[in-house]
Amino acid sequence: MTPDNLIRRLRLKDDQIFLFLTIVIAVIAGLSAVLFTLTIQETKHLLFGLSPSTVRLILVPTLVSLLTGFLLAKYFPEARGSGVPQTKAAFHLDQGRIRPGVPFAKFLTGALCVGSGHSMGREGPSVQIGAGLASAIGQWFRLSPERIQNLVPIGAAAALAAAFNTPVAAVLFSLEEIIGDMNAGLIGSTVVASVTAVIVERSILGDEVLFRVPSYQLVHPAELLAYVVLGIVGGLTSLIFCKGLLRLRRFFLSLPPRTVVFQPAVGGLIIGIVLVFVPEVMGVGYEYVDQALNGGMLLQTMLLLCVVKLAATVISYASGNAGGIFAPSLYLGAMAGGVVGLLVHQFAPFPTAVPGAYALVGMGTLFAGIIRAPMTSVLMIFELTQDYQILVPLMIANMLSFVISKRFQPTAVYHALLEQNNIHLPHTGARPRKTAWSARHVMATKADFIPEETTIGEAWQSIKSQKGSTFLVGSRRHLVGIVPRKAIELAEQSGRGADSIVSIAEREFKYVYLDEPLELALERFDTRAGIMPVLGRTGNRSVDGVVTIDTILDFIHKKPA
Amino acid sequence: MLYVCTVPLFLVTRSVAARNRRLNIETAEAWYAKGEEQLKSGDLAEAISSLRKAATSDHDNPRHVLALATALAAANHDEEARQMLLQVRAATPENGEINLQLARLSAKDREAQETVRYYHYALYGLWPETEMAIQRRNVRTELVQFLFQAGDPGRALSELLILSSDIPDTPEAHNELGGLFLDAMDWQRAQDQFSRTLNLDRKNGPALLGAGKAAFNLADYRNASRHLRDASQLGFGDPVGDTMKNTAQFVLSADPLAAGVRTEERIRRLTESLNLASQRMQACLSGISDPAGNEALRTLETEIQEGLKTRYRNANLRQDAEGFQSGVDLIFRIETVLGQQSCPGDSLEHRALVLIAKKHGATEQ
Repeated sequence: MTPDNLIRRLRLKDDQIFLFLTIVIAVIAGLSAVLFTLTIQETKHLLFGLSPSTVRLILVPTLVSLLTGFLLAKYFPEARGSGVPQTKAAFHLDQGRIRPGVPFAKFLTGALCVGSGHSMGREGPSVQIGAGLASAIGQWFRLSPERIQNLVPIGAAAALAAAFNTPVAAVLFSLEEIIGDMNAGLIGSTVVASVTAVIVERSILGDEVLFRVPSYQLVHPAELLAYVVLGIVGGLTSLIFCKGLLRLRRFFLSLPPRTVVFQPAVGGLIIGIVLVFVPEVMGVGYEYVDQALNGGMLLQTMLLLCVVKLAATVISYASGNAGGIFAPSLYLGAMAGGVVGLLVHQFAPFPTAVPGAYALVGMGTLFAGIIRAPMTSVLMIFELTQDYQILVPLMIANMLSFVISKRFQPTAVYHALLEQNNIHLPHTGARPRKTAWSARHVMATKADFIPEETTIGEAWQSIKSQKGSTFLVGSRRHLVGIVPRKAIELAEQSGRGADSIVSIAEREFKYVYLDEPLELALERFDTRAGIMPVLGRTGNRSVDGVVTIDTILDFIHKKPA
Repeated sequence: MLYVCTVPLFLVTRSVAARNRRLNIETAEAWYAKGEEQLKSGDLAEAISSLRKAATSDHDNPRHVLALATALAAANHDEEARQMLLQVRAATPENGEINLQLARLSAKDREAQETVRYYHYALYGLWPETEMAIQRRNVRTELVQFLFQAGDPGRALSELLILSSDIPDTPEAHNELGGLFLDAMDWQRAQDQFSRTLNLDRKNGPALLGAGKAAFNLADYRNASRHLRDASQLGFGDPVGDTMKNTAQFVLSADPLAAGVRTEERIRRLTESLNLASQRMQACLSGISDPAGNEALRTLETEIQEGLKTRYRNANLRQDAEGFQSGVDLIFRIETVLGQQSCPGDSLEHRALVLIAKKHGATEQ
């Protein structure tokens, strides 16, 4: 046997193992998603009973959030919030490695938070649980880092398929949102995982549907104008939701660290009070989505639920509870769409479809605006209706919503949430190609810093004899800014030698991330500054190295052919 | 090892799912019971909310969905009720109750064709074995009532004839069917049904009322008067029945051609009837504006005045048996013209005069 044949045989075996693992992970992720859904229902029933009293409505979310707040703050900070951003971060920045305890913690805290009435969804946590289990299995089997990374979107797709019962949309979500590349080589594996998980889910729950979807009809061509209006309304509502969520979360993050344990309970108390007056915003709320889809709600009710659900979800999420925004975005969409549908139905001078049809399109519209996964949003609603007629209105409304949301909130909400935690994911357009050189190849890991506590005088004394026109201020863990030699010299000569070096540091400067392409690093490099920091994607401006003229020349000389 | 983990996970999930299902069914039953209570106490909005929770907790139970759909329809949330029923129907298209509810919703929207179609699906659909016959009868009865309302008495009558071949021999069933035949203006079949009831129960008020009305329309004024009087005495009269009773009694007391009446009495009846018609005509002549109508009435006025002096005089009538028929015909012509000219004074007595004439062969030209 030639070495080539041997390698080919071994590779085939490796592929077979991966396929086997894909199926097993899909089964486990699917089961975990189903179990998670059931546990939420059981928790809700256990905590609230049939007709909860006012005191119970207020106390349950508050006390449960106190418990989950403690667990999330002390032991599993990664399990806060949705789980989708954390999964993305693990996939892109940590080669798919997720702590094995995280999926279990997410299961527990997610079931408690959503089951105790927080206005949050179960799909995001399911994604993190599925991805976490997949990663844990990969680590347990001691697979290569690349294989572990590949298992993450597979587990995510399987869990989402089982949680939301739309296998095609789950595959697309995994590609579009987790991997960020619709042409990823993992399409086959995610499809297998998604289908397997749905089979598992149906073998347990049967053909139960999430919503009774009304038959869709485009009654008159002029109705497309109404869908344009729906797209605009959806885009604006998405914006309000995203901006509100990010602002309130920033506020909670700015509070002293010792309050982190209690922040979810504050959210719980507010939600409890909200539940006394508007119990319809409790938990996932798909039964009310169903009601809106089937014309069972008045205009005022839908308007009220749209506003209160938006506020309640923002409060639940921003205060640090465990739960997603996937289901709330669909809920908001159904209500906003229903409102538009009822108004159009009442006032349009042309015949229109039933308001439920608008609620259905509205679900996709808000999903496109908030989650920013336009293809998934279209396919998901199409998969729910299985009706070609809905495609054109759906695409019009979704794309408009997507464009409006992107125009006024350029960073997608999952990315923005990560950035609030000082985690910077590569943007879709700037994904490094695996064959290309990246910034890491032209940098030197050794870098000198002027510590923040240094005065201008001390700094001048230490750099006076050194070469270089620009210096880094701060430390390897936190770069405060950069300062040109000339600025230090001028400040020293003008008598500001006792001032802190931080006072003259430039906080806006050119930098590059470790995984960004070489071309981008060279393009950004300023020869006058002579130095450019290379930042890590996690942490608060942590420095992995620096690019200088010397490192560039060194790379050119040593570069392999 | 993975297999060892997966199998218990599968079993645990299945057992939790089963427990969850039981819990949902119990919850649904509790909400259903609450909803039914609220419905009985007339709290429709709360009942809908409870029944909605029941239907959400246990999707698979058509009883909950049906109850909710019925409540929604009662609250005029027709579109949601329809959607709900159509979705349940997709799984069980032969369910009689679902088709019946859909028929009722379509009837509210006056979608005649669709309504009849759903009623027929309900008729030939599945019902619980023990109540199949009664449910089908009730559905057909509803269908007949709908067809009357929709202005299709022909189809209503044909459905009614099918219904009449399949009813139990009980007063209630005969009365209901008799009432439907009255609506269909099939007086003879209506009378047959009420007679069957009276054979079973001679003092059945609704049957007496129905039989009286049927007899009145069949110009059997003696029986009409008797049945309607008896119904009224039993406390089952109604305004229409009372009018019919009084009219029938007047007909019986004023008919100059009635059998078994002495000649003096016949003469008195005819003379009084002619005078009654003449008085209304006199009153009408002063207010009439139509020249043609005026001319016709004046001709009739001349005819009646001359007749009263000659042919319809006491002595002449004793020798001229045909004079009574001629007098009744003259009254009919006068009352017809008065009716055409919308003359005032149209009372029970005048309508009775027309009925007397019709009974004895007078027809409108």
